[in-house]
Amino acid sequence: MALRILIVLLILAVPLELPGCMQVPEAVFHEKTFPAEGTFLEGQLGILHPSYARKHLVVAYRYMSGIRLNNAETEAISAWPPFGPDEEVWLAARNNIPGIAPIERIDVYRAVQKEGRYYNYINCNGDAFITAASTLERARSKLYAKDWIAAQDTVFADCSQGNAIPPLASDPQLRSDRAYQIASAKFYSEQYDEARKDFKSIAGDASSPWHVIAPYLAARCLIRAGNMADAERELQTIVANPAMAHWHASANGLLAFVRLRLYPEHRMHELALALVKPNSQATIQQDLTDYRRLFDQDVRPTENDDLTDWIVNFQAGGKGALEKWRDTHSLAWLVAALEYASANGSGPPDLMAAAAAVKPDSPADVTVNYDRVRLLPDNDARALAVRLLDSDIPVSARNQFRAECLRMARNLEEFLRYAGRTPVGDDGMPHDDTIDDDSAPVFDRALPLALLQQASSNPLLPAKTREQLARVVSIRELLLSATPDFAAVFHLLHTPGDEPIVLSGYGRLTTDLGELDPLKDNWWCAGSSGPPHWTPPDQRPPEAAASFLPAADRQQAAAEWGKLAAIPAAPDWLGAQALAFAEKNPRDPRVPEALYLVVRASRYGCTDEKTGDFSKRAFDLLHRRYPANEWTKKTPFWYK
Amino acid sequence: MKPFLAIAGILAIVFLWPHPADPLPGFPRVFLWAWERPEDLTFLDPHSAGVAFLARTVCLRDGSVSVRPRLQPLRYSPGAVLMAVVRVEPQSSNLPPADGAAAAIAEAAAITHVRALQVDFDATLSQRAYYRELLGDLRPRVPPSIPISMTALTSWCESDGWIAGLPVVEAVPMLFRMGPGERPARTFRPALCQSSAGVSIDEPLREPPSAARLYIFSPRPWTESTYRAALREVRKWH
Repeated sequence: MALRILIVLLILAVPLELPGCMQVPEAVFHEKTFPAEGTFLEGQLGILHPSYARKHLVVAYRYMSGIRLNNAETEAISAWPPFGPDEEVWLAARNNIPGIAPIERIDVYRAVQKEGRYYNYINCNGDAFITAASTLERARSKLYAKDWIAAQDTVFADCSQGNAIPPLASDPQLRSDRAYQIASAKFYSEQYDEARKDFKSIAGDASSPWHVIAPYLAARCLIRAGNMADAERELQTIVANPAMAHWHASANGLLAFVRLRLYPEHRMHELALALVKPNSQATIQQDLTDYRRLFDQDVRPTENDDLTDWIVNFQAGGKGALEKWRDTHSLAWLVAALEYASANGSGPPDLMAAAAAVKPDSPADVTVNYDRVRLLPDNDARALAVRLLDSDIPVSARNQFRAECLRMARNLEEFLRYAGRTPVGDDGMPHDDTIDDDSAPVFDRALPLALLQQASSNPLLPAKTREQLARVVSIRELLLSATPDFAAVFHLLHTPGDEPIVLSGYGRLTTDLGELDPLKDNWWCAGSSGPPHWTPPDQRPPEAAASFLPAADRQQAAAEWGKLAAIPAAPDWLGAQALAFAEKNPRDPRVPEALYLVVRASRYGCTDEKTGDFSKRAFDLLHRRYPANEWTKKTPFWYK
Repeated sequence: MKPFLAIAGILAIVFLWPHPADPLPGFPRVFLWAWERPEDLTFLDPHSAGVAFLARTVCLRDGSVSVRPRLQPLRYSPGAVLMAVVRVEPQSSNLPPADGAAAAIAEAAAITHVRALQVDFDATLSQRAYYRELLGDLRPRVPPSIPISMTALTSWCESDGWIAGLPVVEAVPMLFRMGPGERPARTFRPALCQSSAGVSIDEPLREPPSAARLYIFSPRPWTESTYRAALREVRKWH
C-alpha cells in the first residue's frame, strides 16, 4: 500500500512553481570583471582590478595617463554597437503601397553549410533596407512602381537563400534601378564576381543614380569573396577621390575591417595609438572593438606600445612592472607595480613612497591606497582604510575597504562595525545593507550564542542582519534545548523561512518566513551545513577569523557548533518533536495540524535517508487517530 | 565447462533482461552540446559521439516569433551525427500562437545532415499547456524520420507528471545548474526521462546517472583534451 501511495505521489504530485529561466539573485559587493559604478567612465576609477575586461583597462589607462574621455567619447563607449537589420523600415514602406500583397518577414540571415561547417551570417544589413525604403519613396508614384517592388522582393528573398535574379527592365525609366537590383541580387546570392562586374559597369554609367556608390559596392564584393588585398586598393582609391566624399566614412570603416585582417599586428599597433588620442569619438567604439578582438586572438602589435604593454603586464599580475615604473614614473605603471607588490606582500621603499605621494584627486588614488592598505603594517593600514572610508569613494570601493578593516579587526566591536556591506550592480534587488561571506561563517560558527544575542541588537550591524541574528539565536536556543517547547516547535513548523544558519548577501530568496521556498531553501539541512554552496572556499576558517575573541568564547562557540552539527535535517527533527508530543498529548488540538505540517516539511524541506520514515509515521498516525480531521484530508500522501 | 556456463548465463541475463527500448536507435550514446560559440569538433569520431548543436534561438515576445540562428561557426567531421538544438525563449507573458513558434522550430530540422531535433525550453506551470500545444504542433511539421528530443528540468522527471504523453522520444533531465539543496536523482520514473541525461563537465556528480545516453555540456569551447577527459569520466559510469 505504502509503495502504491509513493508511486502515485511521484506521478501526480505538483511542485511549487519555478519561474522559467530563474536566476537566483546573488548579492555582489564589487564586480570582478567590470566596474560596478557608471562613474568609472568619468574618471572615478575606484579600485582597479587586473581581472577587469580590457575595455575598462583602456579607459583606466587613459585617465591615468591624463587623457580624459570627453562626453562624446563616453557616449560612444557606453552605446551598444548597432545591431540588427532595419527590415521593418522597408516592410512598413513597402506594405503601405496599395495593391501590394503584404510581406510579414524578411529573413536576413544566410546559412553557410559546407565541408563540415555550419553557421549563419547577416547577409542583408540595415543600410540596404533603408536605401530600399528611400528609393521606394522616389518610385512609388511612377508607373513602374509595382515592377520595381517585385524586383526588390526578389533581391531581399536572396538574403536568406536562393539565387534568383530580377529580369531585365522593359521600361527604360527603370533600367538604371534594375541594373542596381540585379547587381544587388547577385551580391546577396553570393555571386560576388558577377555582382562586382555589374557594380563596375554601373560605376561607369554617369547617368545612373547609383554610379557614385557603385565603386564602394564593388569593393564590398571583393571583401565578401575574401580578396582583401584588392579590396584595400580599391577602398584607398575611393578614400582618395574627393568626388566620393559622401562615401569616405563608410569606405574608411571597410578599410579598417580589411586592414584588421590583412595586417593584424600592424593594425593592433595603430589601434593602440588611436585609442589614447583625445577627441576620438568618431572612431573609439569600433577601434576598441577591433583592439579587443585582436587581443582575444593573441595578436601582438608589430611595435611595442605602452597601452598594450601595460594591459598585458597588469592582467598578468604586474610582474616586472616595478622596473617599468622606475623607468617611466607613470601612474599606470605605479598601479601595476603595486598590484604585484600587494599580491606578494612587500613593496620596496621607493614604490611605497611614490604611492604615498599620490594626490587624492588622482584617478588612481583609491586603487593605490587599497594596495597600500594591503601592504602597510596593520596599524597604519587600519588608519589609512578608515581615512578612505571617511572620504567620498564609490560604494564598491567602500565595500572592499570594509573587508580589509574586517580582516584586521582587533575586537568584536570592530568586527561588527565593518561587517556590513552594500550590494552593488543592477540586479533589481533592494540594496539594503547586509553581510558578506567574510563575516557570515564567523557569526555562524565562531560566535557563541551569548555574543550572537548581543550582536543582534548592536546598531553597528545592518538592520537586516540584526533581524536575522535574532531569529538564528531564537531557533538555536530551541534546537539546543534539552526539552524543546512544543509551542515553539509548532511555530517553527509554520515558518520554513526560519533557519539556524547565518546567511550572507540577500539571504533566502523567499523573504516571507511563512512561505515555502521553491528551491527548497526551507528550515535547515542535516549537519547544520546549510545549502551546499554556503561555505566560501577562499575565506579563512571562521575560527581563525575570530581570533580576536577570548579563548573561552571560542571554546563555547565550538561546543555549541558541535551540538548543532549533530542535529538532523529539519523535517526529521521537527517530525521527532511533533510525534513525541502527539504520543503524549493525543487530545491536544494542535496535533493533527502538526502532523500535517511534518508531512509537508518532508516534501519541501531538506531531506535525508530517515525523512521518509518520519513522513510515514506522521501520515499513519494522522490517518489512524484522526481520520475525519480537516488536516487529515489535506494529507493524501507521505513523502520519501 | 562450468566457466562457459557461467559466462553464457551472464550473457543471457544481459541480453534478455528487459531494457527500455532506445528511443534513438543507431545514434551515439554520447552527444556533446555545442552552444553558441565557435566550436571545432573535427576531432570527434562520428561513431563515438554526436553533436547536439544550438542551431537557433526562437524568441517569443509580444505575441510574435523571431529567430536568431546560430552565428558562431560549428565545425564537425564528415559523417558526424548532428542533432539541431532549438532554444525557446519566452521574453514576455504575451506568447504568440503556438503554430508560429512550432514552424520556426521545425525549420531547424531542414539543416543539411541533421538527423534529430532537440527542443530546449523552461516552462512555468502556466506555460505548460502552451508547450504541450507547441510540441503537438511541431511533430507533424518535422519529417517522421527526424526524432524529436526535449530537455527537462529534473523536477519534471521527479515528482511531476506533466511531460507524460508529450510527442517526443525522450526528455533529457538536466543534472546541472540546479538550485541550492537540489540533488540530482540517479534514476527517474517517467519513461521519457529514463534513457538520457544531461551533465556538465564542470559539475561533478555525486552519483553517476543510470541513463544509457549522455548529453555533455561544456561551459567553454570543446577541445580534444576536455572531450577525452569527459569520455574517461563517462566510461567510469557505464
